[in-house]
Amino acid sequence: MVRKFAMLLAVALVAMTFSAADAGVKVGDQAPDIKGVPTTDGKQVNLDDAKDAKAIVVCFTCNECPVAKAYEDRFIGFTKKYADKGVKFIAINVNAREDLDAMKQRAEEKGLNYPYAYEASGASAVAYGAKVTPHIFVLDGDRKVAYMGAFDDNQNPDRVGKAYVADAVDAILAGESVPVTQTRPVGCGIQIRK
Amino acid sequence: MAAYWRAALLCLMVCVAGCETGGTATPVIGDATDLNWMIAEQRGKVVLVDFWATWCTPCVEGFPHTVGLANKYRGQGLAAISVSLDDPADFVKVNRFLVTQKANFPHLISKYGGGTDSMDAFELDAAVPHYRLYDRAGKLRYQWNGMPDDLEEKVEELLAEQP
Repeated sequence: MVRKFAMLLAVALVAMTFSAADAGVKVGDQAPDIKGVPTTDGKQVNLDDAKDAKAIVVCFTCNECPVAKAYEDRFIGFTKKYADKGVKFIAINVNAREDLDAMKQRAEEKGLNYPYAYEASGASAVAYGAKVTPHIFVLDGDRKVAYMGAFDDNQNPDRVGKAYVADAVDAILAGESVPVTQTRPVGCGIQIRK
Repeated sequence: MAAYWRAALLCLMVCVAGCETGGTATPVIGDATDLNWMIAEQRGKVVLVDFWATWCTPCVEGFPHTVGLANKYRGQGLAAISVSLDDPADFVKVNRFLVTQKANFPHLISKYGGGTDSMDAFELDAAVPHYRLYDRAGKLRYQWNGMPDDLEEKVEELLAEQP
């Protein structure tokens, strides 16, 4: 009996693993909640804390990926530009082989002006369907996914032609339709702890 | 844009002048149409395409495996092609890596660099590395996101098929 139960449990766990791997949001979906994720400044990221925000940018990123690093200055510039407009930028690292101590060091070195959180379980990345770093999800005022994909169209800042996230946020703030709702993200594969 | 072509031309001129490439082909800068031509030129062979970038650690770690397969099965009809999603401005860096790897097969650097245009142009859905395997008739038979466990097995399978 016990063995039978254990087998059923194992099958259920495998099924959950597969469904989690296939999970993820689509544009228009209600955004999965993010709760109690510790940040480099000793606080926590909670989506509820930003309930008054007109838009939230959830950015799955990391410390080590060269693409993610190439975008850090752009994230800082974005946060600086939009903080006073009611837009919240949140960065979450879920990579298994990284940790909060190294992230704290990185946050200090770069002077990150946005919350940089570490979620060891990777649950948020699974819930959102984040595949790479950086992978961005823009949520509108109703916490629905308005845009998902790349921050812009080129990791080389000198070659950027389309600022997808800024365009999406501008549209939300103006009460207009988001012009491009989904792009293929470019970056390093996310490595979630197994 | 001119800077990229100048970099490519400069490297080509240096190589024509006699630099040591260890038999490594100089990369060309192009798009999906160029890749299709490169694949078509190998008609009659099984073609392995390795999408990679110098900024992608798993790609760099996996690249020797592609070189190893290309060398091991070349005589049986395997042709490898690499497609780099590096910025064309990093041409010299890419070429240096390929020379170090002794990657003696054709190479393409996406003219779009490391951005969404490259992902769209080559229809890549996830992070690189990405591998595609075409049969001797030029038909795409297998593709993998991330390092495949069964790549060599599939190469042998397609090599065994008659054209």
